[in-house]
Amino acid sequence: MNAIETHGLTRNYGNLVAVKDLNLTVKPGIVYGFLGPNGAGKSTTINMLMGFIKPTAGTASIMGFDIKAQHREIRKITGYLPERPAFYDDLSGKGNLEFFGKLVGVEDLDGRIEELLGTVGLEGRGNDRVGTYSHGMRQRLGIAVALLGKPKLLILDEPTTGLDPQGSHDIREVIKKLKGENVTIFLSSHILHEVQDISDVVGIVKKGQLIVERPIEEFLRSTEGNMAVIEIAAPKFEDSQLELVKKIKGVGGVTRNNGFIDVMVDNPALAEDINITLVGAGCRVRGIREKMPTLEDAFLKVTAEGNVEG
Amino acid sequence: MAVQEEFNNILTIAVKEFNEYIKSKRFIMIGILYTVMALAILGITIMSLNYERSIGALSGFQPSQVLGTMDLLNIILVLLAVIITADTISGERKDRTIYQLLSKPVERSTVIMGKFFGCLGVVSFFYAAGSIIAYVLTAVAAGMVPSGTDVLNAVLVIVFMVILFAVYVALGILISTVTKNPLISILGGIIAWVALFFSDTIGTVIGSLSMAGQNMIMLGDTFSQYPIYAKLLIWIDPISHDIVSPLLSGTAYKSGLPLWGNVVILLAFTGILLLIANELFSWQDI
Repeated sequence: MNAIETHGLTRNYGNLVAVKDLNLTVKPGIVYGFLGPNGAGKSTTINMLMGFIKPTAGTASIMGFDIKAQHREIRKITGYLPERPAFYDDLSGKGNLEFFGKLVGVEDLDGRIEELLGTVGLEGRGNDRVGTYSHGMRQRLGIAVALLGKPKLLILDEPTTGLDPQGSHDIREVIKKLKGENVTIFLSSHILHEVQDISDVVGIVKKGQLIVERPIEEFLRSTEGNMAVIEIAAPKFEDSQLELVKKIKGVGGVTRNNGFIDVMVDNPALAEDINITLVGAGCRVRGIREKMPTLEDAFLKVTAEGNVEG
Repeated sequence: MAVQEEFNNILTIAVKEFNEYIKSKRFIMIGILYTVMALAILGITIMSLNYERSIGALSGFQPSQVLGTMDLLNIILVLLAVIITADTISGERKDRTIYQLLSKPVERSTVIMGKFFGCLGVVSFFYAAGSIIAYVLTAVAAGMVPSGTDVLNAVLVIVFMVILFAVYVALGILISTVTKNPLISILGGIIAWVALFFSDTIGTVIGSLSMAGQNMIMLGDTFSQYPIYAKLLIWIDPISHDIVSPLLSGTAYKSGLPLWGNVVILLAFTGILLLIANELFSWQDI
């Protein structure tokens, strides 16, 4: 059973098509990076999954529960962090956790609250009014609220926006820990290096349509024409040495790049052959590594092209 | 099991709503306003007591008179009930807390009912606290120990007032569901209150004119002689079903209906308003 599954999910606002025929599949236990430019339909999709808005057409299920008919069951097993999480400002952090914890039906609520305040780094501030919290503290409290019911699925909408580097790092560590506990995480974020760091699969929407849904490494390679890039450092490269590298079977091209050379290969294991060839030709190779394209590069490329995967 | 969960959730939301409200600045402001008005009523009652004492008619005085006089505050208190309630849902939308709330395993109807009982608790708290204090102070000032019947009537008055407030709280919840801006919600609440008030007034004027047009003698129970549309206009206003004075002094019910009829109508009003609010809220996008 998939954690999230949508079939032809569509949402129109009058003539505007916010989400069109969306077919997502999120397998259990993975971190799914859900990306897209502003206005692509990410929030609308999440709002439909959470039951805040109704789909115009299509179906969707979370852990096998239908999003139209089984909200209650879905919310029992789903933790949700909204973009810009809001709280009851006159209540303390603990007060908010206590209120939402009661609605979720958490057993040993006091113990769970203390545990979560520690997890998100808010220990010592739990009794303060939320109205006095900084944006980062609210974001941390939002994560704690989302985790109250020990969810099987966590839907996070921009979880690290506005956090300082330490805060972002802490939240990423929490996500990694949850992944280790087999929690499925559906992560919508604009911070692409963060998504690249923690996601297993990436889904990209553009103009309401899913244009990519692939394991992240496969996706990154696909944007380079399924070629890997080997980056080699040396004090100097002779043209003759580069010609020798080009002749190795499986090498697609060699380019100079600020004192380095980038070698396109169909298999990263060719790095060893390239090293032997260069050293044999008198090149003093200092370093050699597979250079992965960044998610940002790949994202910009596919959203500019906008080709829809069939 | 599910019913028990829903009940617990309604209670959780109601308690949070009540606690949050009584700590708010708005509560303090409204509380001060209401206390000043209640003290004024208490002052008038004690002046009346002194007058009766001066003319030697103290035996006719009852501590429950203060409740009858406090009934004058109802028209203000029901307005406060609408104002207190009118931004409960729209305020959650504006503050975006609605996303946190509805991402938890609660039905939208549970949120409506939780808000309803929480706000009703706040308004009832105002009234009950004010009434009990005023009643006790009047009894002490008069040096009269109320009889069992007096106390029972006083309790009935307070319970009945809660039923009356429930209509206005439900009205506030409905307005709050329809609108998305808290300010517009509050304005809408005031307009609804004015409309209900004038419905009663217009009904009374139409009824009286109708009787005058037919050269009918306006003595005794005139209400029963009003045309049905005038009666309907009056019945629409929940305050026309107020039973405080009849209960305390035995005068006729303004609505021309018996006690149970007034109670049924008020409960029906409340139920219908909550039902509509729930249907709207369930159908709406957040």
